[in-house]
Amino acid sequence: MGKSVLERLWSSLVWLVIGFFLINLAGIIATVLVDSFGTRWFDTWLPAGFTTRWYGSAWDEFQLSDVLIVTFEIVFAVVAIAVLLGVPAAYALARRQFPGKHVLTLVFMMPLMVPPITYGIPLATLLYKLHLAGTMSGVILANLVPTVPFVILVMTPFIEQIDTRVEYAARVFGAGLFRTFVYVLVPLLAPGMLAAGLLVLVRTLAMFELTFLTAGSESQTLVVVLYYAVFAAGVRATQSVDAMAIIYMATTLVWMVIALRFVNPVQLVARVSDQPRR
Amino acid sequence: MSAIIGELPRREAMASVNWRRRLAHRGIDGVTLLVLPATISIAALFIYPSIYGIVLAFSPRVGGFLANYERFFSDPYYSQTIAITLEMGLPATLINMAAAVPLAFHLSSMRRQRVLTAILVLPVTLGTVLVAQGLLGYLGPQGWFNRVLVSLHLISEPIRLIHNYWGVMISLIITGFPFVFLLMLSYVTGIDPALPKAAATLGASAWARFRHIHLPLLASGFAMCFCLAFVQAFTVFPSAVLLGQPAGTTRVISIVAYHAAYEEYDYSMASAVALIMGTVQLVVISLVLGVREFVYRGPLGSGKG
Amino acid sequence: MSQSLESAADFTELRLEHVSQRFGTVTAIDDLSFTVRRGEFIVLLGPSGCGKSTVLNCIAGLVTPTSGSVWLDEHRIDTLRPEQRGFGMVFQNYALFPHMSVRRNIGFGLVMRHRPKADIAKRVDDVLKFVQLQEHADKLPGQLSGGQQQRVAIARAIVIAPPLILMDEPLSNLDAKLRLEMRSEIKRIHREVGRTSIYVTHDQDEALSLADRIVLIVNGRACQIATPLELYQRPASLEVARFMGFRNAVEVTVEPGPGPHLRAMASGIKLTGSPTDGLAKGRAVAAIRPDDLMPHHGREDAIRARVVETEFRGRDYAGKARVEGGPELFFRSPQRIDIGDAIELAADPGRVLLFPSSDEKREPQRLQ
Repeated sequence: MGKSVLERLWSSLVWLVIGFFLINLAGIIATVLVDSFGTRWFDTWLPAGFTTRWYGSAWDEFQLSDVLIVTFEIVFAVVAIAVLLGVPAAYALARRQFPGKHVLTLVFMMPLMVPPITYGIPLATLLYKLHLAGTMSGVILANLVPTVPFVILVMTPFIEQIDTRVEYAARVFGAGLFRTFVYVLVPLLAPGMLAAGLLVLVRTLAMFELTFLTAGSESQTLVVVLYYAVFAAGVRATQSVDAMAIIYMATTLVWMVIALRFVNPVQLVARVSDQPRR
Repeated sequence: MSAIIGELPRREAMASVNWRRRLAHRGIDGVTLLVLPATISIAALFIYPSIYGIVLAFSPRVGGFLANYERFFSDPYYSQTIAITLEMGLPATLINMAAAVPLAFHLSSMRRQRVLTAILVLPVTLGTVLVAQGLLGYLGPQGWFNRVLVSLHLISEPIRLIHNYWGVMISLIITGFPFVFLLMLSYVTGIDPALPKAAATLGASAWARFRHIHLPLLASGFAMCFCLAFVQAFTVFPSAVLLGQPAGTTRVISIVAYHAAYEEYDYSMASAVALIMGTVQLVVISLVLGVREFVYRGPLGSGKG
Repeated sequence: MSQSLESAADFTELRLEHVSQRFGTVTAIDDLSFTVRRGEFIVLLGPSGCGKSTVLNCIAGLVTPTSGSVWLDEHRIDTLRPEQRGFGMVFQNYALFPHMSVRRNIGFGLVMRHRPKADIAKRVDDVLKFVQLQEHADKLPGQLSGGQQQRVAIARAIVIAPPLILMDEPLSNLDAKLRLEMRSEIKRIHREVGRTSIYVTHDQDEALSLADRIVLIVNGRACQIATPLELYQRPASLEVARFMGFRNAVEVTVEPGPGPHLRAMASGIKLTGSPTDGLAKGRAVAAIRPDDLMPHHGREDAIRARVVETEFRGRDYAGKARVEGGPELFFRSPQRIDIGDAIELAADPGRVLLFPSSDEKREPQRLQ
């Protein structure tokens, strides 16, 4: 449709604002990036010189190899367990009407709407009482709270898309529930599970509050280690903190790019079925 | 064939089959039980701790069962946090929504939607901590932002944007924007594209289309989006610590909760503060959703397309 | 001040001149020209994806043509935005505003034109009576059936008294019975309201029943512009003939025959037919409708064939027969036929159309 002068003006204004936002965003990232490669940088436009030694020193200083291993152990465990718990639950919710279903659905959606700090503190207290606080298991358990409902949320439209008659066909030809799952449902749901898994991965990598509240020194994820480093930044060289921040960003970015290949960005936050618009 | 017939249940076994059938009628069978693992997990990790937290909140270390709340509301160190957090959370959410809505509109009618969406969503990868670190450098007195403004002669000396309210606000906007944008985008693209076209053929200008078609249809989505975004902003924590003045002007309510739990080891007080946090959020959300009741909430497309 | 066409309520003709529409590498409309006269009911007919909806969107202003122009008498309108053109449009999925009642939906165009409230109320009431939806006036679209929604969409387009009404496959989402009912409704409305209408459909029956003239569009080009009768009996090309139901297309050689007709021959086939396109002799294609091809005995013109399939249709039999060493032909038989029967098929010379063979290059036609 044609545009009036006012519409064009508005359009330009919007683009201007986007541009401003992006320029500043780039500046923020660039500041961290440049600093991480700089020798000294106090009151000049650019650092005095460039070096890569901060990455080495950050790696050693913060024991990043251990941290990364721990982070990925935790994150992959969370992904695996969340998918294992969430997919069957989503299936049951999609296929059956039973008394109390509404209440159950509400219960499942609550952890997504209540911010982590609110339930994180009592949860951490409980884990402490059970001597699970400060361990990897504790962190994994805590991170399951927002992720299991999230998997249910993401999987539901995928399951609804599968025609129940396909499942009936499987049952008619002799497959019990388990084999229907393995031979028919899982292959059909694979794209959805992949999407859910990747989204959970990205969100858990970035999940700060829950891990912060429940982790011990041996079970911190990268983002928590980064926080502590920034917090104590006065004592440490900011350049090595920046180097670690860049490593963190690169890690999340890689997984984010992978995730976006398979997933509509909107699914990061909202329930959307993956159907292309006709 | 006879092999299968031999396996069919005998008369005596029919009784138990009846009981199963009755359950299945009400929707409960093997499939339904698949919800159990997830339900147990959420019950154990969310419901129980929440209840435990509520109980804790009313069982303070000293004093009667309301002692925590008395302490909270009588000590300005605590009671002011509500106002401080609201003063940050509400404007940040409103600004994000004001920015996200026009953008979502523009993007919904463009072809390179996914690329641009991915770029605008980038701050999600960064996370609050990296953004905080970046802002400390970028907005600092020696950072590029101030430098550019000074060299363009727009200001004479650097403006103070970190370790105060503004640093936290800016961080909230940057990290909150992707969420709000994506959510609004999903709402906007959910509107049947034929509707604005129909309105145009009936003589509606771009503004009239926005006012009569998009606005009413999106109002419900606005409300939901506001609630979710506000909840996120209200519980701000790392930004307030790193970019603000956690002891002073940006002492948000989550800091106080954390302080009670990990510095005073007073889990009861911490739970009480968490409960207060939840209540304030609930009040704001109820107000907004209450307004939503008066607005169209049905499907965004028309007809049996 | 934006121009508007309120004053052009009485126009004489709408002209599309050499309109083309390209989306990237895809050409949706290719050099289309035609004229619509005031009061006419024009149907744009064609298979799915042929570009007919795009033509309608160009006329409405929802899409800007890549080249060419659209004129309303001496006013050039392709540069105007849709809200300035003042045409009424009925969309395929109705596009009713889901948050507005039937009354508000219908009145929307009048509200946009800043009519006084009393005037709007009266006109909406009149139209509601006209489409017989008075009891549903305050319901929301979601509460109406498909047929009722359809009528609201039409009402919304006609209440603004536009010079032109555009309809984009408005009946395609209705079931067969409702479609027939609504077809008569649309005819009645056109008769009583008398506005010039441009209607898009892929359904031949609809087109033949509703149109004063039909523009047949295939692959973005206008293949023929004619009255329904002409299109039905005298398709302009083999392509059009095929679309219009001439299922049989047989390769033959022709030579002059009796009167205006030509003799057409191929192995096992002897026909007399009507030439098209200045055909006189040489290679050609004979097109015959199955309904026109029937078993006969002892005629000079005959096609010898053997039945390979039959289907009982109540009134008659539909059949498929194979010519020895030749093509399969579709035909009808009033009497029973069986698979394996040897029959002789024949058709009226007036019903056999002879088209020049497609190997010969033909000039793209400038149609008016």
